[in-house]
Amino acid sequence: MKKFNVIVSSILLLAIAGHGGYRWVRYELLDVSTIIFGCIALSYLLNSITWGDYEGGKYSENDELDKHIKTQSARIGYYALMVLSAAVLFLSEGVTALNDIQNIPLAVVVGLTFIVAPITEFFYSRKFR
Amino acid sequence: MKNRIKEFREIGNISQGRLAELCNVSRQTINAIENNKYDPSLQLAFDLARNLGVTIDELFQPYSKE
Repeated sequence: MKKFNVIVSSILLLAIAGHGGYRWVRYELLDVSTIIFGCIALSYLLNSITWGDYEGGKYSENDELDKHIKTQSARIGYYALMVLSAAVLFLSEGVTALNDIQNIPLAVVVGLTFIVAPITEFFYSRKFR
Repeated sequence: MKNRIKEFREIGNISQGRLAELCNVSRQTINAIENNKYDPSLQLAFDLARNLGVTIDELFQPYSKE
């Protein structure tokens, strides 16, 4: 089943990347749908390789080590997302001075990465008090 | 935590795979615990001790804080 999922995910990713690459070369167009669906296909492939299931961890819910890996990865992934979103903001804007940034929605997203975890911890800690 | 899982497995002639089956976890989990890469939950520690026929005190020892 793992091999099947890896093959199907690979074909899906190649198809999306191929289509996106063709449009890029032929029409110099980079579609948002290509980026989003390409990322989804890549996540399917990575989940298939790691867990044997494209949704990720479906067959490992009862295993303690798998749960530990998922929990730790979520924490590390959060900080990676924080750094990457800030990098995308500064690279796309081409400036380092915060007040020169024009892309306000992306700046808001970067700001949100700083407060999502504390807000979640605040509400979740209520459960135990 | 330091542990003596391998030692007690060998005494009881139980493979990692069999112990994993008895504790309802994967063999990789047993291997990670045995090699001190992962500390098990209290429930799993009890399951490991029970299935190896020893007490938790015999099976696990905390690292010295010194």
